[in-house]
Amino acid sequence: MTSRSVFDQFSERVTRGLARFSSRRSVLGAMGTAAVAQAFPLLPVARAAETSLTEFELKAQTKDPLRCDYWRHCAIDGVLCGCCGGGIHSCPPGSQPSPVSWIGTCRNPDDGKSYVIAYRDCCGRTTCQAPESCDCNTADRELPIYRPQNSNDIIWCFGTASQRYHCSTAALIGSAD
Amino acid sequence: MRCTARLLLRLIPVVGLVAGMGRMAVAQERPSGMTRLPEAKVAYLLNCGGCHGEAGRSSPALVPDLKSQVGYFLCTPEGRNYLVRLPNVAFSHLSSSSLTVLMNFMVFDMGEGSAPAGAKPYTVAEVDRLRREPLQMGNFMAYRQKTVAGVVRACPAAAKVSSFAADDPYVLANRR
Repeated sequence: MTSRSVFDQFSERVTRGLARFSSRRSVLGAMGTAAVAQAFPLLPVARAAETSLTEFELKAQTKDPLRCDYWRHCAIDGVLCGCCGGGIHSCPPGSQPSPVSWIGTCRNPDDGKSYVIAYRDCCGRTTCQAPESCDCNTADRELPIYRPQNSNDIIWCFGTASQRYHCSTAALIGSAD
Repeated sequence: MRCTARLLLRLIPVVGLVAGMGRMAVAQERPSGMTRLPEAKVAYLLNCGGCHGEAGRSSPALVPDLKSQVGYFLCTPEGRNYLVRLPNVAFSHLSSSSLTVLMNFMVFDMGEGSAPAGAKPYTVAEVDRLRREPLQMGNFMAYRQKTVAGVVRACPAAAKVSSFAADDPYVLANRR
């Protein structure tokens, strides 16, 4: 009788154990379960992979409007007025909303719908000194400067008494779909 | 161990379901009471509204007001053509059929009450033809004023609104 190696003994034990405790039927059952799990891609990762969301849209949140990843800030280039004594659709005291603005759409992650957002600059005071986390530069559906009507690199302080840029708002205009 | 592993395997879909329900149950920030805007209005907002104003009024010295006055351009064939031949209209990224819907919204809805009685809506073929002839004259403002003068002769009521008035702030701001 030849003595078996430790490795052989271990392998045999594992194989026998597998054979004794798992029938082919249970393997089929487990595979079926796994297949069903795949058929219902309910985890956020799987959902995100299904549609072509932008990098911003994958991370967008709906709770804190004082952060750059707030859903309405998908194409904002500037300092958030909410960090400067104003709000998401109001200018801080002493500044004036520009009558012209950059209008685009952002996707609300809660209902998956697009909304029309107007990025109105507040003008007439020097640039607001806010924490760095309030200085945003996102660019969903934004285009380079040679398409000025779709570029947010422009300071939109036109038609105001002063062309000094203070901060940016993101007013909600309506639902686009 | 084996039982735990099998149990875990069976739990995968359940965990998935619960995770899905959890996501649905989270308090949602759905902008309340917000009805869907008509397609033409969305096209107007995204392509024109930034400068011309969400309701067709913004800063008349900077961009002409449209609200209740842009329809007067339909008083003459030259005025009618002028609107589509404007560079940012002609060079729009919209298809000619979408642009036609937008033009008719602008002239008849936004321009409410200013289009002459019996004015026909723009057709796709007309818009498609006109946008191939964008305005590119040496003196744009002079051409604009000639067009506006023709409109005022055909529809004298136009002279009462800013974009057609003698003291149009847009013209005064752009005078050479």
